[in-house]
Amino acid sequence: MALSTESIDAIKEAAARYPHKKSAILPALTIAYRQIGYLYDDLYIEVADAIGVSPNEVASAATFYTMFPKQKVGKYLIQVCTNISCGLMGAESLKEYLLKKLNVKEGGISEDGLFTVVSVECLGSCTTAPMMQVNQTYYENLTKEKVDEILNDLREKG
Amino acid sequence: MEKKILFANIDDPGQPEIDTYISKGGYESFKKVLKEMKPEEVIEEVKKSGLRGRGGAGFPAGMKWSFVPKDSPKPKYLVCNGDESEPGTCKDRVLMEHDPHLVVEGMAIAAYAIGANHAFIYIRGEFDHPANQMRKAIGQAYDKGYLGKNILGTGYDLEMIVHTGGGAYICGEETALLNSLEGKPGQTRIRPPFPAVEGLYACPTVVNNVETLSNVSLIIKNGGEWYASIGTEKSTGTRIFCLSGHVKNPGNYELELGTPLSYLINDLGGRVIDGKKLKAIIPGGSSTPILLPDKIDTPLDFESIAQAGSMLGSGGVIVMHEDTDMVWVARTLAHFYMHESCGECTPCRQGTKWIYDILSRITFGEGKMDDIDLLLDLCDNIDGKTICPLGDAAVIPIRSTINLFRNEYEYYIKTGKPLVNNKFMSFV
Amino acid sequence: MDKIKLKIDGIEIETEKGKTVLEAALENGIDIPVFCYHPCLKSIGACRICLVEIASPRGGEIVPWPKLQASCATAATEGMEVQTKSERVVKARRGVLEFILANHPLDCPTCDKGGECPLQDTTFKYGLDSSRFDERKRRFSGDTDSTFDDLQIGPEVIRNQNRCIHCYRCTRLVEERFFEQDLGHYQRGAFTEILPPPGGEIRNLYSGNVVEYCPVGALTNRDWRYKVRVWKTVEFPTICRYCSDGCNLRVSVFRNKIYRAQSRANWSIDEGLPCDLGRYGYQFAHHDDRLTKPMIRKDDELVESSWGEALTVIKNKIDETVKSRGSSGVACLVGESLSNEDYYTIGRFFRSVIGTNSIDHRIYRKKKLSFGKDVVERELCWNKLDIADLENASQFFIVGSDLHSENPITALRVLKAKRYSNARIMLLNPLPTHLNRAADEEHIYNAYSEVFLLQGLARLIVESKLYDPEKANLREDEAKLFLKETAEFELKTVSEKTGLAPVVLEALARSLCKTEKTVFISGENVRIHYQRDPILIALYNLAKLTGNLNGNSCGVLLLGGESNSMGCYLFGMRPDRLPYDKPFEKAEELKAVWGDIATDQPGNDTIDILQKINDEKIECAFLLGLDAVNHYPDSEFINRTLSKLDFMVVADLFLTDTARLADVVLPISSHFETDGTFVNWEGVMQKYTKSIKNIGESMPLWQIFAKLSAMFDADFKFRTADDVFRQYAPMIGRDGISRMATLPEKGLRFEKKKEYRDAGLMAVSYRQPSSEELPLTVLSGNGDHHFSRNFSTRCESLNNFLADPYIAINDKLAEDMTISEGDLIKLENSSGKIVAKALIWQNLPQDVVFVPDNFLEVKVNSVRSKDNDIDKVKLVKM
Ligand SMILES: Cc1cc2nc3c(=O)[nH]c(=O)nc-3n(C[C@H](O)[C@H](O)[C@H](O)COP(=O)(O)O)c2cc1C
Ligand code: SF4
Ligand code: FES
Repeated sequence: MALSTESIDAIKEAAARYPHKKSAILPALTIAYRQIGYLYDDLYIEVADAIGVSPNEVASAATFYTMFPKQKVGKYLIQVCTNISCGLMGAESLKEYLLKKLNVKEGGISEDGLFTVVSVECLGSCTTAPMMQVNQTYYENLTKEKVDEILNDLREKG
Repeated sequence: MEKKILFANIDDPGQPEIDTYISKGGYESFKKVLKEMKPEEVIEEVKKSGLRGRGGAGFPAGMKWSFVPKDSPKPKYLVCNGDESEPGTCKDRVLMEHDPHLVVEGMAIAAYAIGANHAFIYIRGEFDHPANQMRKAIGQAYDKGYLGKNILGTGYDLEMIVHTGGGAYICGEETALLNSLEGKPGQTRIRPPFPAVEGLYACPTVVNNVETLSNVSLIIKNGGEWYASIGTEKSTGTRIFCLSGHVKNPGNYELELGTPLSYLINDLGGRVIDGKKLKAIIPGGSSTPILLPDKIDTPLDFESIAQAGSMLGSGGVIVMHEDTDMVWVARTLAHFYMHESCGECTPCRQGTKWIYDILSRITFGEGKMDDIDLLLDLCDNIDGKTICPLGDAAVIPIRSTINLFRNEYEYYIKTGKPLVNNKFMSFV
Repeated sequence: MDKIKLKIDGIEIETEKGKTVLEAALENGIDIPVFCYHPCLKSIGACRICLVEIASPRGGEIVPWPKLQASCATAATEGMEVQTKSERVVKARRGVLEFILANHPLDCPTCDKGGECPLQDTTFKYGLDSSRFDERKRRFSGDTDSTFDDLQIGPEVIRNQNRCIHCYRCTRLVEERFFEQDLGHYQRGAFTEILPPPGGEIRNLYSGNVVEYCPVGALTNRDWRYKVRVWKTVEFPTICRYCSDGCNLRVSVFRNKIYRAQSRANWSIDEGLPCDLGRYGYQFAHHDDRLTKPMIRKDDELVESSWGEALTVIKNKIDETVKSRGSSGVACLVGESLSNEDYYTIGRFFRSVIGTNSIDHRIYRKKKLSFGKDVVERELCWNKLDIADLENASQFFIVGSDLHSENPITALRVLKAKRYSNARIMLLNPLPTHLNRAADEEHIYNAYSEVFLLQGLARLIVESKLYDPEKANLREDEAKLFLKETAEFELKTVSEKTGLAPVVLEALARSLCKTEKTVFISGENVRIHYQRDPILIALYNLAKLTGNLNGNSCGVLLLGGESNSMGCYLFGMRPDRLPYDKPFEKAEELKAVWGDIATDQPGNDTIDILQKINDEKIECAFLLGLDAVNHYPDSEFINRTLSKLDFMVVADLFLTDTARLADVVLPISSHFETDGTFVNWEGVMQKYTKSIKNIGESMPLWQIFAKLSAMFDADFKFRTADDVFRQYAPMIGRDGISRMATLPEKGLRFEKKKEYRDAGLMAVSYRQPSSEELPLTVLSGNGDHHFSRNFSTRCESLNNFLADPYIAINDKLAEDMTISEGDLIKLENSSGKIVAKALIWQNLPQDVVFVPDNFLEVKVNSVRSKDNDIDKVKLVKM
């Protein structure tokens, strides 16, 4: 069992909120990936058991939605928006900067296990471009200095 | 001109607290509705206001509500669409973060009007903070007795649930949203049946955008006529425009409908950065046709923008200056639509990928002159042939850029290099 | 039905309101290509190949719709004008086709679907000559040069994702119609993949249908792959030989070998969705174990002989027996999956040539049934409803039936009613059954407490006045009397005996009375129950009380049985009935054809026959298409009994355990090797056709007995199966039905539908069963993908789903006895013992074990006793 009892309880609680428990699949996947860091086949089965639906329903939803990492990622998942508004404001070079500074390949994990950098589609932060999301937090109006500061803070936190 | 009705309290850091909200007359509209108005009267008032959907299509809200069958024995549902994924758009997020009770109250009134006892707000999964703000606000509303069983002793029950997505633009489309809310992959459903008849869990359902619903309590408070007096005759009220791209002061601005685009870009936005020349404007999110600088005086209302050859869409105004490589724009958006195609219908699933493949090839210097006409023909074969409007949206940037900037494509194909060299694309 | 008129391509057509534009066009011979559309599924309008141009009247004008519409998902409306061939439509269609083909590998020469591929055909008809797609094709395997992407996703299904065109027919079918979750779509957009769930396989009972539903070669059958090209095969229509639903199938034959079976949609029966038993169950026909020559016992060993020799031995032995014992010294037992032609010929032979009425088929019964009582079964459970009626029922009350494995196609209709009109499914069984995946309620009662449960519910309804006196047609005094008569079925006692809480029983009673149109279904568990008749009567009481006795889409059904159980009955395979279910008094018509037959008294039934063999009063017996040794509830007894026979003839396809005891073994042909007819449970007679030559020297039974008749100087002159049909056809009494060829393509309702007789409420009483004092009750039924014995286990594909016998026990019991899954365990009682691997089944009641009844290695009838009503055993860990 990879899911903690807290996660299972939270999933069950979510399932009870909806008129139909199947609706809890997305909330449950959110709970699961936040605990584990990413999603994988056996976890779908656990999630399915916790809600009381079939693994097929869970897995087919999970793989459709791209927000949930399907592979192990660093402790901090940095998602750089490279869509139009951010792109106009230099998102590509922001990403390049991050990759170089953290010495990782896109999607890979930095040596210290802390960071993974990926590019994503528009995150709804267009007026404050360029931006990136680190785990759940948005960082906006990024400049080189700001990025350095954020990375330092995160490294310090470990 | 700028007119802050939705944004009236947006800068007050205490606004998300229910007490602050109430102190400014919050929840009075909901109380009034519960105690003094029949559901039909609420719908009537909203109809009178002329409020049109802010999610993209601009469908009159009151009319949509009146499509819900009154005599259906099935439960009815209200769903607030907070998926906000259209590139260039980030207004709903601001409302949910900074004035969540405005959204909750609007949802509650709408739910009452259509006879729903369950209301959901579907928020894109990445929006963790907005979702938490909404959860907190809903929790406070329950505590105050504005939600739950037998609200304020009127016998009306309403449960409100925050549902977060998992990263999928298509889940902003209402039928995909409903599938997603049911726990399924976010693929679309063919219409009819329309959600108003067979929506969530096959029951009558109304889907409205966050901004649309945020207007509702104001309409009830001040009257439909008041609202209709703002804006133009057919485009009433205000809209929040998300100004992004190459402008000095990007940001969300609430404007009276009918305000000229130039006012937004030049007066509020402080013009194009670095003194560069304006090259192109996307006026309503990535799914709307590009306007050239000669259209900068177009009034921002549904009709005028349509006349200028574009759409008001979701209110995402993206400004591009002279150094913007339009083939890059096309490729970036082609990638987006390919990535977000739900995969259900053929033209969209296959077409978006094919288009992206061709554009990538061109930007790798392997383009052929025939590719341009092939792209246009593929656009024809997608446009209007898909289940949902994502397919139609996907071809817009391609057609727009080819029609307006064909020379850039030709140059790219001939030389393997862009005509303009995206100089802006450096943030360091 | 309301009719509407519309124009398609300028042609005015009429159609029913509610139909789609596509349906209206197809009905009228106007071709519109489709991929994702299937008449058995809800339209999703996904593939877009069926786009058409539409204009419709508004305000006195015909207004064109701005967009092309998916005709499969657009309702036809009055006055609509549709274009299916306009320039716009043609361009769009070509565009869609080009998109579909863009990433399709076009590996037709190596693809199994080639030659019968809707994509191939549609491309040929509507497509472009060349492709503008100049990019790298999308590949799922990672190998971009090869189109090979084979992945076995179930015991019999192989997937090549590269070929998939994302019509979602397969996944929709599995979810929408089968209520299964073993196939889904994963990932998104152009990279969407069809897959079973993590760690799973597609292995539901209907899994093979996804292959037929796939309009390309993305899903293919392991069974059929790469063996033969479709255009080299010839197709023959046939009928499934397993359960009593009677699916219509077609087999593909190449050089006298069957390579596959596919659906042959009969909309009133199978809707083109046969279960896997039908699809893969043909394989026994070519099994190496098929008997190919007659055998005669010589020096206590069976040796091959010629037909002439074998039949002569039989003829002489019959003569001898009749001379010494009279014709009553001969008896015949038959199986339930022979053809009507077989039964008719057998009946005529034994009754008119030998002169005995000792014929029976009810080998599975323990106790003697008085002749009259079988009428309960007939009166109540047949003839009123058919499969299609179930679609309109609003509630199913399923008791003592594993409907899913006993009648998979009837189960599909129940599921259809659930899916499209949200009918309620209530399951009541002594153990969980797989239909629970779609059930609204499932209740597990104590094994063998059915009489308490059902009569208890009837009493509860009367006592609590839940019934509507008018609908139930019940007077106050009748109700009072009933309460008096059912005193033993008080709620408290019923609750104790059944193990169901009073609140549950009360809720059941209410739900029965609240819902209209309830169908009560029972099955094998009730068929072989020691109190079968009281159960059926109690069901009848419930139907009456709830107003479901008569009317449409409601009533009582006793299902189960085999492919021709109904024909077996109707063609007189009982000691007291003549063909077409005629009583002896009405033998005149028959005598005119058959000559003299003894009709003064009935012959012996199974129980009597076995008794008389033991008493050495019957010396000569025929066991035809019947493996009695593995069937009769007491294998030791039947073995001993049959060994006493002076002369025993067994006719079968295989050397069964019964055949091993015989003096003469006759190889019979399968139903693929002759023409013939079956009658399914609905009473619908359907024909199948000779598809391959007889295997070896085998012969169909009708032919064997026709030959024997000639040796007795009473030549029936049956040269073909149709000769037999022509002889009995007049008895069917339908104009125009004179030869097999005149039977309607989709079957003939041989038995007329009739209403039940309302005979008032009936009292029944519970009889304490006799049993040994042992802790566990044995229940048995079909294992996954198997049916009955000797046939399904001789099909490789079906064994791929389940090959090994097992004994299922409850998890708590397993824990107590430290038994793990796969351990060898033994069930034992005074009748015998069986040993098999343990399977741990969580929801099985603790005092019950379940053993699949299909495997020859584990004979459940070894632990059955013919004398005890119910069979109890003790469990031993090996
Ligand atoms: C591809 C696609 C994406 C959409 N995304 C959103 C969205 O993110 N937010 C939204 O409110 N509406 C979105 N819509 C529009 C919705 O389908 C729907 O029309 C809207 O939520 C209705 O609300 P309204 O009437 O208040 O505008 C989208 C539509 C399409 C076709
Ligand atoms: S969806 Fe497909 S097959 Fe379907 S009919 Fe229509 S478009 Fe057609
Ligand atoms: S384009 Fe980056 S947040 Fe929208």
